Amino acid sequence: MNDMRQALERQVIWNRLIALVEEQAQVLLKTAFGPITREAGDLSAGVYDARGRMLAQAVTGTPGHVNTMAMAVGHFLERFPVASMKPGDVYATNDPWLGTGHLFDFVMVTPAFLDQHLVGFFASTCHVIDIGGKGFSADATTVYEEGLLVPHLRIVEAGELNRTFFDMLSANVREPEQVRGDLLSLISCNAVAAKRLAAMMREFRLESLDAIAAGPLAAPVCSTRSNASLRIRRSA
Amino acid sequence: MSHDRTAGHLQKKLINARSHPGAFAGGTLKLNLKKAQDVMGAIKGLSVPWAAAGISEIVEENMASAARVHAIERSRPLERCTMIAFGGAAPLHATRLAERLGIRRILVPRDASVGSAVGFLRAPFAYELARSLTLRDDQFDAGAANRLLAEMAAAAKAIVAAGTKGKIEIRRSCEMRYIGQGHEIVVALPDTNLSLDDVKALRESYEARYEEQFHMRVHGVPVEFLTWNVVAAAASPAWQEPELPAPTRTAPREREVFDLNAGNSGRCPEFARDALVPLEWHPGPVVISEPQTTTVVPKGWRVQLARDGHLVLENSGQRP
Repeated sequence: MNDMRQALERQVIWNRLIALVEEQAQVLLKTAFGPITREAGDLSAGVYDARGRMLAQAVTGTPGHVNTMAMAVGHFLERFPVASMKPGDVYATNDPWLGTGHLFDFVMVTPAFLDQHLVGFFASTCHVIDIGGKGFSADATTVYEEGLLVPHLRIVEAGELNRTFFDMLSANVREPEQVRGDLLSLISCNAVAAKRLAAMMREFRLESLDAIAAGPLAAPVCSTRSNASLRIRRSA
Repeated sequence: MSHDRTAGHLQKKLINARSHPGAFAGGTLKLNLKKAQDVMGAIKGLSVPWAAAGISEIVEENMASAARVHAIERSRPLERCTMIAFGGAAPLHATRLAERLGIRRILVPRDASVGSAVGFLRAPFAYELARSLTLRDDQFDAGAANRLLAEMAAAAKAIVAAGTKGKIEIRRSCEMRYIGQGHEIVVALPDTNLSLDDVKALRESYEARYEEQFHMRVHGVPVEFLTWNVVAAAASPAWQEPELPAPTRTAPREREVFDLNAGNSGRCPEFARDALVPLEWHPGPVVISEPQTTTVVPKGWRVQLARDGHLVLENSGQRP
């Protein structure tokens, strides 16, 4: 009986995580300033466990970032140890090798806390309208001509925006309001999702996401198999 | 397909004893408990009540997700809302849905199962106009806005006046956003002509709503006013305490209902809605039944028949 409740609860939590990242993506769409994000939907949103492994990603968004964003949080954790992270911190980069592919894509990572304990991460990505350089990246022959590279930085510390960073960025791009606005909306959507995650964990009395992470990270193999066999049976 | 889905939905309600097999739709439609149990029993790995509870949980979770997405689209904070549960099925699911959405108060109106029809017949006659005029808060043209709003109010009022002899009320609002964004938040306008001080206050209202939803204000960016809305509505009749038939005070029956949190079926009182004495609270678990629907009040909630005949459900604050 307890097993049944657990299985059921796990399925509900799993549905909730997917709904949560969908809400994260919707907030990004609603608050973004750049038309590439808000009209073309060139964005991604996802939730990660406390070790930086992706658990779920929003349906809304572009498939272009799927695998790159899945790896991106791990690169932040190599530079900023989990122990150094505080509630209200937010990290960003547009490193094309360690982020999602080119300088136009910013990855924003927000640690999620439950009662001062780090329980996971939210990451979101969007394509900003300009990043300086030649403007059209295919015209560039080196990455330096492509524009400004922002290394892994803590751009919000305990809720305080790093003004130096935003001033530097604004001085180097052609549409500073839109680019700054898009970064703020990435921060917003992660914050909304982190608040929802804490509420969800309280609702289901979870202290960590470990047990939940064990499910989806182990389950895809068997669900892929059963889907495959289902398809074979259908086509037979 | 949709027929199957409806049937499955009924089956699980039947098994969890949320619906009564003999009394569904006022007893005009007989439900077959045995067949429902057979269908649920065919689901591998779960007992019959758990299979039914599982379907219900996933359905309610998905309804909650849909509500959240709708709330973001409309830019409304759900937690502050009262849920009005109408339609025959809503009172069965309302509390579980509310718990998921952080909603603490539910209203189950009289004639809930035909709520849309009743609402349509009783809603005051109204007409809504929307027009675009883009203005910025830092270069606001109060004259242009006031002229437009006056024109719209006159036009909407003329239409409503054809359908009522009573007083006509005007409500005005504007859809606002930070310049550069693509999504607006509706902010109510004062009743008087707009002044530049009002514009400051409107920016403040907009930013407060924005911050509530998105946890941030965007400093240094002007706010723009885009779509102006004017609603002219015949005044709703003043509220009068309806004359309700005297409560029958029929003693509750006992009913067995599956409790998901406890993991078993437990007995709880079942009151006929017309037996309830107004303003008396009943702690959950309790079931309130009426010919067209059933209101399920689980542990952690309480229910009262309000003076106007609606059921009010309140969450005690603790999840059972």
